[in-house]
Amino acid sequence: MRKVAILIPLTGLIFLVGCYWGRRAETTQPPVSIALTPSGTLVTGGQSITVTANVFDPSNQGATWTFSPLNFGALSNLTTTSVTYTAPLGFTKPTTVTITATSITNPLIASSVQISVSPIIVGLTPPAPQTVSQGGQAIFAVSVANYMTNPGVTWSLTPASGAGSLIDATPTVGATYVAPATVSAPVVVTLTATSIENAAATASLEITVLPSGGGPNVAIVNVDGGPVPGQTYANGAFTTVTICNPGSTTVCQTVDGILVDTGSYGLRILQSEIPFLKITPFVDGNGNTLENCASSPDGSYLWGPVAPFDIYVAGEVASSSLAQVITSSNIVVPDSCSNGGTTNQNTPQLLGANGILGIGPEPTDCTVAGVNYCDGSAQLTPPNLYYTCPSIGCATTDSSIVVADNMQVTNPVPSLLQVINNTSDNNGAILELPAVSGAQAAVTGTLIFGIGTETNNQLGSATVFTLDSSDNFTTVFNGQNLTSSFIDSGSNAIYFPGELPTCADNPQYYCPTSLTSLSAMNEGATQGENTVSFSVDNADNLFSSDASDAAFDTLAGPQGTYNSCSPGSSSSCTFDWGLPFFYGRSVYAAIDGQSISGAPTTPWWAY
Amino acid sequence: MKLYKHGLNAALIRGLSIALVTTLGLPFSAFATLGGSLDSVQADQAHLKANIKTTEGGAYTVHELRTPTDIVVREYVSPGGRVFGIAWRGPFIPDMQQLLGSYFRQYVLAAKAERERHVGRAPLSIQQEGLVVQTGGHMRAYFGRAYDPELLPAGASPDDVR
Repeated sequence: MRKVAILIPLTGLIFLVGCYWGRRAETTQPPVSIALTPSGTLVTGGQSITVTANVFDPSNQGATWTFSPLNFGALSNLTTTSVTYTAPLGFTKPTTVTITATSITNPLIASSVQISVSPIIVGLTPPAPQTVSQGGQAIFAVSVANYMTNPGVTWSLTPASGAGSLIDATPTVGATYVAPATVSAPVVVTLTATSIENAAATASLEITVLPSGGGPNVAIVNVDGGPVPGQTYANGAFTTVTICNPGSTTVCQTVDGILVDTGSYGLRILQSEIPFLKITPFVDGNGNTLENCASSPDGSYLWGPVAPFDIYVAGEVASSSLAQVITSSNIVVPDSCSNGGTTNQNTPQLLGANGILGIGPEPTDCTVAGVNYCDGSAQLTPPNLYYTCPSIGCATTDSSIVVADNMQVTNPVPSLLQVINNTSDNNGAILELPAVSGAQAAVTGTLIFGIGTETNNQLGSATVFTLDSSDNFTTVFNGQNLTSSFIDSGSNAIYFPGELPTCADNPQYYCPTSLTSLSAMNEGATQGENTVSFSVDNADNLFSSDASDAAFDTLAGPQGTYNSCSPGSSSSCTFDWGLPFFYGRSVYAAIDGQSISGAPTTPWWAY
Repeated sequence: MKLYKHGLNAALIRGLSIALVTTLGLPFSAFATLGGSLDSVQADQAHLKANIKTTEGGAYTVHELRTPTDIVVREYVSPGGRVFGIAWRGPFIPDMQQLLGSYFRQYVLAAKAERERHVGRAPLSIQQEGLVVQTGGHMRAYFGRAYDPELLPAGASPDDVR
């Protein structure tokens, strides 16, 4: 590559010198030069292309041919003026091949063309991990991009026997997975479609067979310490999403380690986790992109462009849903987002996750109780959420802007449709985790889309708690009337103003001398009342007993100051029901603006 | 203004125009800072064109500012004219550097240390000599307070900063 880069300018220089000489002495021989055609061509695996050299050479000797990367495909039909390049089979990443012609008369003269070689890509639809109940079925379509002659696939299951079977499997249309008639515990099977033309091109996904409650609206959730090796994320519920370029079923990336967060709205995905996707943010004629800032109360933020993707989760898709792509590089961020010094959590290590799936009770990240603060409808001062920045990045002094609601980072749930039949499971979601006894390494639960839309997401006997204009309800605890309380799967623990001592080693948590049983009463804004019993254990002991533990039922910490909430207070009036509250419960989040048959007006929580 | 892609140009152009007007006409972030003087509060009143309520008490004075984006900030000023505590709540987090002033660096370092100790998402509770910060909430409903225990005037308690 370096050699080519040096030689091309040399060619130009000699040509210029030649012109000069030519004017002075018309008898001077023309210099040697080479022009190649075509350039910038796109070929797929196994496909051939002929490159032709126009060699301006008085001695008419022509050129020799080389290409790189080494052994990526082959050259044939070599002559002094043309060559045929054939792309290889059996590769999986888009590759740029450089073909170089070198003058035989003057080996210092060379010219190159670049050929883009695309692999065969197999895509399954839906592409994300699925669940199915015992005896149930799941239908998949297949598409193959960039094939030469054979658009077909073969289908397989791993393990091949004992974990269900395939019916109606065809090479070019799809296949139906049939689960075992009975399973006593979740069984995981991998479905794979393999290109007949190129066995290296495959698409696969995991199907989890559940004893009951599975289906296209159900995704698996793991509380397992998170996706970062060597780092244990306590009480984080993680799922897997597949993100595709809008309209594509083959240009997709499946990303695990996505934190399920009922305390925020919208998908926020680290740029580093979707390198093969084409990110198409809103861009104006001056090249300015629409950027989003998501601030957290812990003194951190997330920064990056707003871009549409087809977001697949379980058997559902939110098409052209606007997500935040968290910029991986440490670019300049406006001070009004960063506060001039807080932390951008733009790596898996800093975030503890590969992304955040915000599925709380609001439709976009700038709405609360029907008021959109960013679109200019309620008031004209834009809060620090949206910015437009030139391609070189923002300036620290850039101001936030007003943005229409259909350009804001969007909770994908209201857009969800089942891939196989376009059924809407879009009015809310249910996060269901098994009970945890003290501390465990991992537990597996489910994220169920829709409320009352399927047999597996009925409200049943759950109590509905309506919300105030800040999406809060009241928790009465130990004589305190905590009027700004909420449920948040994205909080690592239960946080409340209590009398328990904080820990010596982990002062963000409580450390009672022994397991302490407590209770609190939740009261909805206009309806809903329920007493919750919970226990708090010594967090220093919990964290030190087994480093691999990630699920803690009894982890709690201080929020504000005990007995300091009074009417009109800003702080110390909150009971934050974090992830431990979800253990052993099904918790429903109904989204503002959606309707649920037979239930109160949204938004609300239910459990 | 140039056209935007995705067929949503009109909306954003309208937005940009509004943004231009409002940022020129109504500076958003200008609060008094923790440890700062009474003068900075008074300057904010004119600057913000905000709904301001002042409550004078024996031990201290409370200045309550409401921004156009519904953030309510209470600034607690001692009889000596120093801001000893700040509390806030609203759909957005106010500019912490503006609020905390010379305490901002201490806040940033303490918050960073806490996140490095436990990766995850949690409310913040900083209890240090010379600075207490408590924050929390969820998207579009945040709250917090900060005070310097050493600046509390006679007759005021930490619970008063609320």
